[in-house]
Amino acid sequence: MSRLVAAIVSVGLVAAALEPVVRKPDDDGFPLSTFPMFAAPRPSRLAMSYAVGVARDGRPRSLSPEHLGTGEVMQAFAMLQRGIDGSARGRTALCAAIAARVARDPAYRDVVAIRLVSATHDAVAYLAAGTVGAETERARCDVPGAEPGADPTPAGGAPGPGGVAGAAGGSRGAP
Amino acid sequence: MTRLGRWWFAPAPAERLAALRIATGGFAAIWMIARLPEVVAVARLPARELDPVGVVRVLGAPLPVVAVVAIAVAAIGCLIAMTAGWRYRATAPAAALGMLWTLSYRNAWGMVFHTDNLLVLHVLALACAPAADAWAVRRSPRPRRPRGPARPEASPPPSAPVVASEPAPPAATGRTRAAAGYGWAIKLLAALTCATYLLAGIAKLRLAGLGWAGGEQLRNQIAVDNLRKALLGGSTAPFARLFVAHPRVLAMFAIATLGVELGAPLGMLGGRVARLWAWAAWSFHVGVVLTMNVWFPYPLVGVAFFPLIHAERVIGGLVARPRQWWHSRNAARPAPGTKPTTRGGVPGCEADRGPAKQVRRD
Repeated sequence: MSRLVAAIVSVGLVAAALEPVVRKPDDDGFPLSTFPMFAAPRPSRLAMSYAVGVARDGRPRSLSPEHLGTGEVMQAFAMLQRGIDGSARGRTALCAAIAARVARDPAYRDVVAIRLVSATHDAVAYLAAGTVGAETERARCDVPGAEPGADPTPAGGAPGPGGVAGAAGGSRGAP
Repeated sequence: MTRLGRWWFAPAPAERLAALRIATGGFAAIWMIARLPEVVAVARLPARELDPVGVVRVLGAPLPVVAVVAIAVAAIGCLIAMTAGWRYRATAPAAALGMLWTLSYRNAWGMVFHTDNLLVLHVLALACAPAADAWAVRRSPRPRRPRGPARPEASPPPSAPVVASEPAPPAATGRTRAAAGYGWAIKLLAALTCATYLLAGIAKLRLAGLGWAGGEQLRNQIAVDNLRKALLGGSTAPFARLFVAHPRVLAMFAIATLGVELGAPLGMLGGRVARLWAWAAWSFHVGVVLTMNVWFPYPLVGVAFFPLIHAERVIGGLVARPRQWWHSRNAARPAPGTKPTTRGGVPGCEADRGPAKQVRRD
């Protein structure tokens, strides 16, 4: 390889890697990224939508990202926000799909229903003191084949911050 | 030549670039194999979930699952060949493009991950570099078993792989040796490493300003990130609650984070300064794991920082054993009916004269 070709390759790749500097910082891409994760100012208030299982005795149970069709926490997050914030029909379809996956999971035999909720929590207060914010139910569906309990009404709000045993691990390089 | 040019094209051993090929290519192959089930899972997601990024923007609709898997498997095969240095000029670009496509497709479902950016850039850069001039399995002439007793020295076919330990001479490759040498490619890989960290630091200044160093932003990021994971069934980081409750400590971490990211160009200085920066950046990733449970495997295993160090010293030991095995195998089993050729004491192995110490002087 001549030095000219090597120089062209070098300048081209370094320029491409630095190109995101001239983009809007939140205009992310792959593999040329602005790396906006953890950069934007963020209030401790967290408004998000998520799915919760309802056990036979009414207790809330955290679901794993696998129940949403992905093994990745942050991808599950993105899918849920789009699905729950979309149309009512989409929410119903999403809820049914999650319920079907939960029905196939032997570790979740006690789960009789799925709730899709939108909630607002103060993340710092939630983590430091366990203070749970307000939740609004957006959709609800039964888990196929599950025997309903005496009262499937949830006894509490969101599941605890520790998640559930055997839940998925951490995320990879996502905000 | 300008001073910049002399610095950029300063000579470096072929083994150092080869070590980067082996480390990065090997990591990429393992990473792609580990991600394969996830790639299959996203390929089965409904078409409405597709949100193309990067090169995948050319798609108007998802690919069939079989096509996604076929590309990923082909990319893995090419990555393995690239790591071995086998038919490098064909397999390395194919590996880079296959990996770029597969991971872009993986990121095209609503969430762009930042784990693979540097890895993909490194593989792309390696694919453009003469990284298989040392420590490579190379196809070259080798004696062949004769078809009959009357042909004891049949002409050798170009089919037997050999492990080359040093840059192949022009006669072996049939082309002129790299005039640009190897140092530029190593600097390019180092520059890509530093650029990605610098960009992350610049993004913080552009989006949050110097106030990001105060620690409150970091505390909120840690709290929100961990809570999101908890609500989605993931695990929270071991030190998350501790640090969220002590924001003053986080101010120090925030300043250190900005220092590492904005100080990334120091990595281009080489020597002790580069090594110190690499340690600082690695420590930063460990901190991210402990506070956010966010894993960046490529830097965490250290391979992302190999361009900043003498990588051949790390990889050389790993390469030595398979080379010894290969050489002893060849020495013990000369092709029947042929005269073993001895170059540098290793029969049938061209361009092998022990550990190469050559440094290209351009």
